[in-house]
Parts: sequence; structure tokens; C-alpha cells
Amino acid sequence: MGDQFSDSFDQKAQTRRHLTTLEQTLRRLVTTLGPTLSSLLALLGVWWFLTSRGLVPPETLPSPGLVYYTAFTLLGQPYGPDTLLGHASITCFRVLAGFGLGVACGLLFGILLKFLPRVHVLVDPLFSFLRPIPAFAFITLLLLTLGVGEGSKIALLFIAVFPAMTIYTDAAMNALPIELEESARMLGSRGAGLFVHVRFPAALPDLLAGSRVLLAVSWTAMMGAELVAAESGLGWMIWSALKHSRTDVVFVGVIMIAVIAALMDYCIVLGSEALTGGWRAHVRGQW
Amino acid sequence: MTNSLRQGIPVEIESVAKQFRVRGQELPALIDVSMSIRPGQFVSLVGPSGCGKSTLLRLVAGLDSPSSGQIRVNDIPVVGPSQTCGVVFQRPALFPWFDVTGNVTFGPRMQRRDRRETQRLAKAYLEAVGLQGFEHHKVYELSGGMQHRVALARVLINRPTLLLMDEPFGALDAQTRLIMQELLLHIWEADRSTVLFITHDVDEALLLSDRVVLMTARPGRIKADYQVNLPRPRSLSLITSAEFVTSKAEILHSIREEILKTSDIEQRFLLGAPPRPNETLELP
Repeated sequence: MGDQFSDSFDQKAQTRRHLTTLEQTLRRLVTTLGPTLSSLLALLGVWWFLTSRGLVPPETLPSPGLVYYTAFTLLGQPYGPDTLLGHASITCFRVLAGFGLGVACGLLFGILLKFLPRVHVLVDPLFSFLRPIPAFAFITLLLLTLGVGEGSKIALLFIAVFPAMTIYTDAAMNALPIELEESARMLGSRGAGLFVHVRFPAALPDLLAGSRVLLAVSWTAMMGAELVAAESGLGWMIWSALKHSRTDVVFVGVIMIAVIAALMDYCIVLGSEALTGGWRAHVRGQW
Repeated sequence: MTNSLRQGIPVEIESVAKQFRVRGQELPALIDVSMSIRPGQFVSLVGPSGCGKSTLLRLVAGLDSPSSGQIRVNDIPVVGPSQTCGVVFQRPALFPWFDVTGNVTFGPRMQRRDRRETQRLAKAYLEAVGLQGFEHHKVYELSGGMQHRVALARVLINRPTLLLMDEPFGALDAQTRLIMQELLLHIWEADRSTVLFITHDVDEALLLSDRVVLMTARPGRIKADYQVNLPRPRSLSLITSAEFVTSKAEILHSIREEILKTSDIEQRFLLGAPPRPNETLELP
């Protein structure tokens, strides 16, 4: 029994050696996608079971089939002002605009603070005070000043993202281990060169992790804004469908948000892997 | 590869003292250290741990400034880091986001040297430290010894005329350390920059240096200054020679005295006995 086992183990090791890159990629895909797919299928199974046996009334939980049908219909036929993809793209635009602007400005301001310690002293308590306020608390104020257009919603996301990104950046600027900074200085690196080639790369893992959190925050804030102050977008669609008891449309909206948000998050994950994947774990500790 | 016309530069340390403020208390790390190093001399600094060896090296490097006294490198007072001076730290401190070549070319790139010449030099120095074929490896994929070689090449490519080394091989295993010592001997004997080398390994100090300076327990002072008159070029086989063993015995005896003195002070402090007159009590 034991010999057999080790035999098959050796064989496995041998075949592994002969695997091509393509095969390795496929294998990795299966091992990563496999668990994801099976848990999604299990969820779908429970959903289908609950609705098909009439355990939950269809007004509360529509069947997977109905949701699929509704989603398919909404691709061609508008709900309110726009089709499903129209609502999705306007929400995506708002999220990306607000999040992008907030992250870019937070990054620049955070970096600037590193070089302007006097401004840092002034700004730090202000931001620490502002940051815990939920961005959504500003929505009425924004509606009054900017109206119901795109501006107020993008501004809301900016308020949610900018102070937090500034604080993340400020902290990430200090992620550089003192030994690395000193060796860089002794090798003749100063000013802009030191920043671009040493301090910024060392900060990158923290910056990417921070922006990933803020992307999720952006989606939350955007749903709030669209529930209250919009005539289009996935948030509006969900809210309106709820008022008209179209739970199937609510589900289509929720699933759409989940898929898009997950895809955006995955983009940041892929970006971090490409930029910092190999060395990230090696900045601290032994270095 | 090396420029034979290049010469080391002199270092003058003139009554340097350094205090640190630790929890509101002034803690003297160095008291009245004076030493002058001739151009091209290889000096080892030996002493019990915590005696201020690293502090002195950081002062010479310009990473810290002395509380009093002055340090002059090549007759110019040290005010900050300078490229004439290369530092090899105890840990390799490589940049993990660059590959091996990216780390070695860091200095020349920061000083905007000619790119092609830099690539050529990087190849030459990597070969000198025995890392040919590893040019495009990630630095974190290398073993500890190889990382130290990269760190050495990264400093040497800047052609420092003063090389400061803070226990550069202290974290390596015994075999790798021997190989690195021989490598350093080989490179230095070809190029003769001034070297200040910190170690607590007496064998290492004697094998490499022209001069071994012994420091006292904290607060650091210079206790003794030995000339090492062993012939060059040297190799590892020197370690077993009779002259080597005699010098080693002498130095070890002095170090032992120093260690006993520290623990004597500590014991008296713990037992509550009053310090002897004219003696400062400093505890870790």
C-alpha cells in the first residue's frame, strides 16, 4: 500500500516535469476557478430549491429562471429611461470618475504632505476629524449646491475617497525600511530619484491595498447616492423596482452590481500582482 | 576592471563624542575617539557588542553627526552622505523591486552615468563577485551569501575611495563567511581603497586588516591599536600560521578584560554598590 502510494507520487512528480506552460496555466485556472464555480453553483442550487418548492413566496424571492429571463429582457427593453446595460454603464462611469478622481487627488496630496511637514501638521487633525463621517451624510448638502446632475454624485464619491486615500498615502510614504533608505542615500540617491526609484515602489503595495478598500467604499456610497438622488443607474433601478414590487428586477440589479464590482476589484488585484506580486513580501522583515 | 591609479583617501577622526537621548536620559555612546587612517589602509574596528562601533561608522558615513569633535574624509569635514564613501551594512538591504543588475546599477543610474558603460561595469563587477549568470535574477531568489555579493558589487561599482563595512558578513554561515572574506581580500588587494571594517570576529579582523583598533565597552573609547604585519597577498591559510595565532591571543586577552569590566559594572549596579569615583555607570 505504502509503496504503491509513493509510486504514484513519483509518477505525478514526473508528469509535472513534462507539463508545458499552457498546461500549467490551464491547471492553475481549474484549481482557482474550480472552488469559486462550485460554491456559486451550490448557492444557485439552494436558491432554485427554495423557490421551486414554493418554500419562499415569489414576491420575496423570485426564481433563478425568472431573474435570468428578466435580465435577458432588460438587455433589449428599457426599464425606466434606459436598458440594463445603459444603467450599468452610467453607474460604472460615476463610480470610476469619483473613485479615480479621489484616488488620484488623495495620492498627490498625500505625497505633497510628505514634502510639506508644516501643511501636514495643519491638515492631519482636520482629515482625522473628517474621515469617520460617512460620506453619505453630505448628500443633502451636495444636492443643494450641485443639483441632481452627475456632479453631486461624483463629488460624493470624492468626499468618501479623497481624505482616506490621503491618509493611506501619508502612511505608505513611511513604509520604506530605514536600511533601504540609508543604502539608497549612500549610493548617491537624493530628492526626486530617491522618491521615484525607492520610496514610491516601497509604498506601492500599501497604496494598492488602500485603493482596493476604497473601491468597495465607492460602490457603497454610489448605491446610497443613486437611491436618493438619481433618475438612472443600477441603484435607481433597484430602488424603483422595489417600489413597484418587481423583485426580479431588484435581483438583476444586485447581481449586476456584484459582478461589475468583483470585476473591478479583480483588475486591481491583477494590477498589484503584476506590479508588486513577486517582491511585496520581501520589503519588510529580512530586508 | 579596476583603476590602478585610484588611491584610497585619508580619514581623520578628531576627539569625536556622541550622545543619544534615550527616554529623557543622555546616553554617551562614544567618548573622545581620535584616530587617523592613512590612505589605502584597511582598518578593523573590534570591540564588545554595543560599544559604539556602528555609531562611529555611521558618523564617518555622514548618516549621523557627532555631538562634538570632527571627522574629515579626504581633508573635507563630513556633513552628510557622499558618493566617495561606500557603505556595506550588516544586512544586504537590496531593493526587491529591482533585479540583480538593477540593484548593482542603482548608484550609477542615480548619478546619471552613461548607460552602456554602466551595463558593462555591472557585468564586470558581478563577475568579480562570482555572480555571472545571475544578472536578471530577482534578488529575493538568491541565497544570503549571494545577496551580500550583490550588495558588495552595488557599492563597488560606485568606485568608493573609502569603504565602510558594518559587520558585512556577520549574518552569514561560517563557510559562506570564509568565501566572502577571501573574495573581499582579493578585490581589495587589487584596488586598495581605504577601508573601515567593523567586526567582532578577531580572525576576520586579523586576516583582512593592516591595523586592528580595539574599542572599550560602552561608552566607546579606543583602547588599543595593533599593527598587523602579516605579509600580503593573504589567503585563508594564514589563519593557521604561528604569527597569526600569537596576534590573536594578544587581542583576545584584551577583549576578555573589556568584557569582564562591563559585567563587573553591571554586577555592582545590580547589587546597589556605589560606583567607583570617576566612573560613569551606563547600562543597556
